[in-house]
Amino acid sequence: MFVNGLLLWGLALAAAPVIIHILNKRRYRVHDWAAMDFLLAAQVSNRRRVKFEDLILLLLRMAIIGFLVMAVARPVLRGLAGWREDSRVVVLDDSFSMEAVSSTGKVFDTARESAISQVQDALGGSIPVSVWLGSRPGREVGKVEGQVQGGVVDGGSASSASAGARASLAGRDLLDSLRDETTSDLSLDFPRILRKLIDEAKGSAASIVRSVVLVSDYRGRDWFEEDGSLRDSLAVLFEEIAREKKLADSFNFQFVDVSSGSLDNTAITGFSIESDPVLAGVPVRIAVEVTNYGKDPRVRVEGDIEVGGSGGDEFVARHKIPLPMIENIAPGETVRVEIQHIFIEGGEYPLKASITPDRLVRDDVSSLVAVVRDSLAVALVDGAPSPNRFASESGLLVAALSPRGDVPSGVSVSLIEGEVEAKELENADCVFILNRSKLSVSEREALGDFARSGGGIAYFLGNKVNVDSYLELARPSAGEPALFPAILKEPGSPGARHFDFGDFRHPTLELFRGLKTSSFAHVVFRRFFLLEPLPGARVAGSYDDELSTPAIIEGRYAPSLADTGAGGDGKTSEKDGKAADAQPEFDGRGRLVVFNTTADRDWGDWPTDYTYPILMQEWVRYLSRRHSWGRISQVGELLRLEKKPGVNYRIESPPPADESAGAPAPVRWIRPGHGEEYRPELAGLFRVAASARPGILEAGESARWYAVRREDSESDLGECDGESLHEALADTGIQFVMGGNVDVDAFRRDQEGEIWRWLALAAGVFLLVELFAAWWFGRKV
Amino acid sequence: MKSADGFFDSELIARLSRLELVAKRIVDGFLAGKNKSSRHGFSVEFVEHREYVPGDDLRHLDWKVLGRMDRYYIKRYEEETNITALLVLDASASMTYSSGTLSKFEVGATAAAALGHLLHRQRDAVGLAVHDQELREFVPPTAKTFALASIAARLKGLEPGGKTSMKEVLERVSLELPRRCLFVLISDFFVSQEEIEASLGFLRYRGHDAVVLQVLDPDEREFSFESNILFKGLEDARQLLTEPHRLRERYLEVLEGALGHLKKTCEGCGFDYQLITGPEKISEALAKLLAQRARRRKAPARNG
Repeated sequence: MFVNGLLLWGLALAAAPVIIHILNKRRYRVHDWAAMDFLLAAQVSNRRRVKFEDLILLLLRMAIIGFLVMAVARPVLRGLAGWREDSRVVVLDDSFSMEAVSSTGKVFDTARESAISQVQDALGGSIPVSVWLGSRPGREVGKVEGQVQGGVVDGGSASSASAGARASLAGRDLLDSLRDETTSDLSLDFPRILRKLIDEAKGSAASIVRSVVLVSDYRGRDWFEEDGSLRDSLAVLFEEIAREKKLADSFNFQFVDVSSGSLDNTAITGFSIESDPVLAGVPVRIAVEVTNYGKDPRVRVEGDIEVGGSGGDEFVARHKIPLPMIENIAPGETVRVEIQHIFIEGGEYPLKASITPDRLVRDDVSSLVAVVRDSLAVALVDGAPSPNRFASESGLLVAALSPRGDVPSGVSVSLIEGEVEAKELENADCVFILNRSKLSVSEREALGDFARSGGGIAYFLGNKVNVDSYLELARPSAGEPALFPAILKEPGSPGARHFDFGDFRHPTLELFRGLKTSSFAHVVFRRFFLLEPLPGARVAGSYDDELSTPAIIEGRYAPSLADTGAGGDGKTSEKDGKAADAQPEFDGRGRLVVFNTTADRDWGDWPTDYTYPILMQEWVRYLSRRHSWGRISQVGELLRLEKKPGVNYRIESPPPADESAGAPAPVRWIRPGHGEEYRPELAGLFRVAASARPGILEAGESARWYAVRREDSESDLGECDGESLHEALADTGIQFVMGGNVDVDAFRRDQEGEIWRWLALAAGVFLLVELFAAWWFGRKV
Repeated sequence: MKSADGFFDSELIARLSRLELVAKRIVDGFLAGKNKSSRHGFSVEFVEHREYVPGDDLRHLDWKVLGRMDRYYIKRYEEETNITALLVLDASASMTYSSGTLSKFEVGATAAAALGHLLHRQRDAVGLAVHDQELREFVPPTAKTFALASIAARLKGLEPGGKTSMKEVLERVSLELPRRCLFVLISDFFVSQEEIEASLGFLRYRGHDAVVLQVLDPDEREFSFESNILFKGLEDARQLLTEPHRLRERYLEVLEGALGHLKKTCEGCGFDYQLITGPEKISEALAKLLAQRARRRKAPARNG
């Protein structure tokens, strides 16, 4: 392939020495000569040598012209000096850390320029090139396949039909797209890129050598584990490449390091609200954690929390609460500061925390959404209703959860009579099933949907309970998890028993924790069932009988709540609260709990004890769905949108930070019911509105806020040097070259297939040889 | 300075007259010349003085003259005999080659005339044979006064041409000559080595003495041509287009080989050999020739 292919016609000039030689032969003078015998004798013995010398000189002269013409035509070889290149994949690291600013500007800008140079270089060499984004492997910026005419990418016309012209246009588009690229808040996902490349190489029948050019800041976190070894996800892939010869021959790795050199960075790595759900009028603590990732202490860090208004289309700070000043943060240390705040009324409140900005500004801001409830809604399903409110289970529970008086408990109770229907559970945070003999199929479906949406279900037992029916509830069916977290057995032996809460570590027992004598010591239970928790469930409290019969069992409406059948021995279940702490935290989504007693005084005195309303109210808060949960997610994760049929969501991304003020926020429509999903690539506050008509936001539709956070580790700018990388990759057998900053010329010199310099050099050498040969052949003149 | 007849260069002859052309061998002669006779003459008498030249026997130095005039003279008093010399001049077409003012033929003719004059002054009999492939002119050797005029008349107006053939000519003229004779062969000797060997061998076989003067043009000796040249043969139709500078080295090797062969053949026959390269070299070559023969004269004669 030649850059200036038309100049190859100049190779015809190589015939010039032959023509000149022939013409010279025709130019002579006639001379009479006497010593013809001697002359002819000399000629006979000299003819071969002269012809040979003539041939050598002619070939040398033709070669000189040939080399010069070829040099001007600029041939491009793929695979000079062992570096063959059939295609080039430029991976531009657009991860969050690339947003850092160095003395020469933003690191990403440097990386982008380097990537553009790489693309232009490939286009100039007619090498097919594609550009991928390091944090978004699924999205390809663009590619140019085939040949580019003369490496010109800024010219061409739309009417041109040739493949070269089309490639030129594609090259121009690719460069334009590349220039428009910005960073995401995601992490570099080089393992996924490698996986994709490997799969492509494996699927390709042709033997194609790809140059993989990764332009990145080469953070240590992207490459190494805590112990300094290569990340497992990378090591496995590199070893796979090195292990299979076809793969090893398919890749040349070139790492362009554009790191800024400075590692200092301080970031907000935590922004949380202590309780969820948040109740209006109830003080809550809001915490901010700041981590110093630099090598020097960070002093006098100031910050504040902005509380946006409930409602509205865009974030408007209603309150700005200053954070306590952090005097000093040692390198590697995280400091937590808290403020207390009261949300006066219910609603959704977007919050922003920010600290004094540094070289990486975007991680000096974090966001949060607080869903504040005026009260928690509890639905009661009474299996043995009675008009006497102090004799019925529901009556005592209503009194415990929502006692009459001037001080509201923050819990509103509704009573469901008859069949439990989904509609009645719509606004409930949790539902209590009291001494219900059994649940119908439709009730189980309604309760299953309720639990799946995050609502909590509490069971009180009693005389009416049908054991077989509850065993059925404890058994998953048709892919649905168990609705009851325990195996119900026969009634236990009667006697005066008490609660045994151990060291009161369950969150609902926090108020009773640390007291000298148990507040529950005087509460007597006369009857209860023998129970066994399902695997995955845990015992929150026991009775003090010989068997330590579970008094409270909690589980979660999730596949992890396993089915062991009615005869399961429950060996894997947790027997006390201490062991339960080792389990993953229950996030309140679909919690199930069984109180192994009645909600009235039939089996014990507890419903009339003062601890009953306290503990019940705590359990309501514990069981209630977490309204703020689901509003906070990580970049790259699915935005948790309800998959309601026919519901479309209008998602308004946070406005770009570096765009001019007033620029409209990017908007996107998603239809989860049609399998569409949305994974935010930027952190910040997203506003999501539901609409029945796609593309049209109906008036009065309420919108919800979502806070999207980035991975904390992205703020750690600690770099991995080339030597460490060489050592780490040496074990995998992967060879690569690594260059600093934007020294793409160095790479180009190493890798490019252009050999015009060599041809020009060869022409020069041949010229010297020709001069020497001509002198040598005629040296005795 | 050339004489009127074109070939007798007085200046050249004056320089040469100080040397003696002596036959290496003892030859018989009719006149009392300056060649040592194999037969002792009627008397040993003083003939003349001549200036001393390096190489002369000091026994013949005239001490009286040295005492009177403080100059070195050699006394010539030995009995000397006449010789019969035949100047054989090549007049083939190859002798017409000239890179300057004189062709090889003219150079050869000048040398022949000079030697003829010298021999005549010594009262030796001098003759002339001019040939190409045939004998074109023949002047029988004579010591008479008209000998030189006759030779000059034959040389004047002679146009060289034809091929060279030496052996037949020598065989023919040898029939016309006494038994022993001095042949002065003047040619470029552009003939085959076989013919050279046959010609000189014939003379040696017949008991003749010979002096070989090979005449070459400076072009032929140096071959300093540059541009492409089509060389056309003077004696035949052969021609060659070549780049002379590319051929020079090999040509000179071949030429040196031929010259060496001729010289070696002369030595084998006991003949003297001298090369004349251009008109400027005539006197130098003849001087060397005579000095060479003088040295041989002092050496014991092979037959004596």
